[in-house]
Amino acid sequence: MKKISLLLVLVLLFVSLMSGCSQPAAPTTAAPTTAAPTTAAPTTAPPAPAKDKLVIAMGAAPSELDGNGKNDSPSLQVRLQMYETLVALDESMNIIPAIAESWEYKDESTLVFKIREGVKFHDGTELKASDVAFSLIRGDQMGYVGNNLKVIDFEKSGATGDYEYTMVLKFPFAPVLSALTVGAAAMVSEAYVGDHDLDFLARNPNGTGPYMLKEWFEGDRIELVKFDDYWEETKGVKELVFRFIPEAANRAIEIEVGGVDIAYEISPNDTLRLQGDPKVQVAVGNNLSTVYIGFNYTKENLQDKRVRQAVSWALDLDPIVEAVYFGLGSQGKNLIAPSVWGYSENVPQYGYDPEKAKQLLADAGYPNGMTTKIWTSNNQQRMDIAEIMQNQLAAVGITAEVEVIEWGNFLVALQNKELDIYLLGISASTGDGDALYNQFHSTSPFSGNTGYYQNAELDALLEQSRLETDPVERAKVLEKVQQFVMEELPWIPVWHGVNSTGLGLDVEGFVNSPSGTHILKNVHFK
Amino acid sequence: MYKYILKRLLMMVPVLLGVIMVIFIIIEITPGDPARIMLGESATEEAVARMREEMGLNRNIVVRFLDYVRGVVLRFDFGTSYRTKQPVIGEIISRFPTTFKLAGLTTIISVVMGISLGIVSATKQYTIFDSLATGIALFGVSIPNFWQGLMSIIIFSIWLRWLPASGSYGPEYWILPAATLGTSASAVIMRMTRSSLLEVIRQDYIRTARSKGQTEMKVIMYHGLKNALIPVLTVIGMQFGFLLGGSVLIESVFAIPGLGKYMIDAIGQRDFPVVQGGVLFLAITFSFVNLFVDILYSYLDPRIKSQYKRDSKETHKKDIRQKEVLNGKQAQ
Repeated sequence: MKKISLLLVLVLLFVSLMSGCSQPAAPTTAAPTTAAPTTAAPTTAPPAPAKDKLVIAMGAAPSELDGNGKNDSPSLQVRLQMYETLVALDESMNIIPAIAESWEYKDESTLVFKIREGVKFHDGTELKASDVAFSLIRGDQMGYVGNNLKVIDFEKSGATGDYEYTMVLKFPFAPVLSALTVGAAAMVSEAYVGDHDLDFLARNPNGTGPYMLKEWFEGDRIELVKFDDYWEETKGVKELVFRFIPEAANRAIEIEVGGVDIAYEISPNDTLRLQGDPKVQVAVGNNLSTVYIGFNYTKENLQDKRVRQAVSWALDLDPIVEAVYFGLGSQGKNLIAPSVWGYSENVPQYGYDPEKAKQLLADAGYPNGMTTKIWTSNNQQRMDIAEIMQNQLAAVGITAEVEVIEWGNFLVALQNKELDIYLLGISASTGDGDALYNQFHSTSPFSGNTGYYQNAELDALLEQSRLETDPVERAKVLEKVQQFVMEELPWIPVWHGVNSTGLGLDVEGFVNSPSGTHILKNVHFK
Repeated sequence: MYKYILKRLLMMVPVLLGVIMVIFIIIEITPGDPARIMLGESATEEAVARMREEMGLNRNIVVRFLDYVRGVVLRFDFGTSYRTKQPVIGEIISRFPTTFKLAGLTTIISVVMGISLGIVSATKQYTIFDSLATGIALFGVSIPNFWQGLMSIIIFSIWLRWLPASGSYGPEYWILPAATLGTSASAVIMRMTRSSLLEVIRQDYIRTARSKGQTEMKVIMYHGLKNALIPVLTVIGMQFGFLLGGSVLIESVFAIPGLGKYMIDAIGQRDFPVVQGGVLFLAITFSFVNLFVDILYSYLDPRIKSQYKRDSKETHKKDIRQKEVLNGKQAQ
């Protein structure tokens, strides 16, 4: 009996230990000026949707909340509610004022920005042009903006008044405004950054955005609260709660059962299901991505454009979009997505014509067909595309073996020029047609020009597109670039992607941002 | 007893070193460059080179291994997350209570269900109750956890709207994940209780107890169950250990912010230090759970406790005897 009592005591001890675990952690509210860490065990009150609290399900937790920190999509989805860039993009990828109220070109490589007066950081200090200068230099030095700010001559650029920033470029560069919209080039306070180290800044944001950090519950959610001194009147709710739910199916279920008000990145099959649910709204809008078939230009048989065109004529993309993407998004028509600035419809198109494909192959010296390989990473949708491709190519005499390799190996093989025909995706992160430069200029690294394509005529056109500051003229040059690449086909576009977002019936004011970082400052309940 | 515990603690050292070595080697032979994978295909070569340097990947694997072991032993430093740049141990500790709570609740459910069904099954052997309980157990061990989790979400969250589908914000949030995990765990406990109890109730002392006129209830619960519990306890301990690491999928299915979800997310994001630290932490926890169960035996069964004592005394006596023999030989 004594032993049983002892066991009972042990069980009780265990239960009390567990209930100890469930005690709410001490609140660690984050006023940006305090030194307290903003992380807490995820154990407090439920973020049940209320009329002044918008609960959003997203796929992963942010890496960090430093305004110039990592540029990954989950970080930006949260961070861009708290930080702002000098200029921003609207849903049609047009440049709109943000921290800069207006700007003008003094000459073709000098821009003067008028900084909005009365913009406050969350710690109550006012943003000045010196903070703008500091933020851009820091953004460039931190490295997460990529090469986007390299064109700025920081020695000659700087604040030319409390509310004026003069930017001098190393050479005329038309896409500079789009480059300034990169999330990691957000405005930070020079004084605040100077007072704290990187670890602190990664967890304790201090931006000028419409929301400020309330609490970050590690691995579970981040809560933001409306910033009362924001420079603009907004219709947004008082609190935003971002819950991290990695499984797409779970996000769809949560929006279905009303556990969240907004669910990002709904998968194509769930989108179709939710579209039939009268209790849910689904916002489907274009994004900036394109899935494509690439050709390794260093392989002799793929250097002939007739072979690449033959592959394109041999493919029927309709069943791919239907079977793989459940009819969502659109069939690839161009090598940038339709929502990217500068996109043109006036480019050569290829349909499904196996006879033409056979003829082109014969002209290229392969009358009896050819043998090649289709490489893909272990992404299910791309594996499916590869299989469909394999069958369609076989019909015109191209025997293609499908090689599926792990993503890490895929990147190594891509870098080592080992692939033949391969499947990949690209996203024009700044929303500007300048993405084509990175994709096809012969000096672009393998990370952009994945097929090592080289063409002097195209290089010249791409360089011209960067120098042309007049938007209308620039669009014309970009159109020529697109016509050129669609004729030459270094890649074949397969599918232009969409953002699919689930919304509660009472949610209003949500606008799809093609970049996937939806700004929620005007989202509210009906 | 204390010597035994000390010995067990010392034995953990090579085991954990082995664990670190295995994880290190697995991560080393994982294809691809972690820096490139982290930054994606659009990153520049310079950025990748900088990231490699930052991640310490340019150093020799032996140097990295020794550094890691030194960090773990001297500072309890499990490395720094590639993604968040935060110390892994801090993030593990903030999530572990959630995993522990889930494992604990599951263990309670599975112990109550498993032992009850086991008793019914053993005492009513070859009856409909036995077949029913065995059937339930077979179902419990056969059904994959993640599938059961998804099915229970569809039934209880979407169709019936009784319970929340994911998160961990109140008691109702724990029901589905704990019940899902508890199904398989209770099945294992039930089967062990049944077989162990069946063996015990055929012993002479049970017959003696019955012949003394004790009630069947008392015979089973006091004389039978107590003696049948030793192997069951081993299984419970093992199950609890597995649950600490094995709730990985269920935490992901129900979006519970525990250690399992942390590790699954890290695998998806190829954040190797987190995976490495998480596995090591679970190995340490598992070792301690096992030790705890072994100590618990001695309280349940005094014969085991005396065995520990006898072992150490006998070893001592044996040593003396050997010395005497040796001395004797030398004297001759």
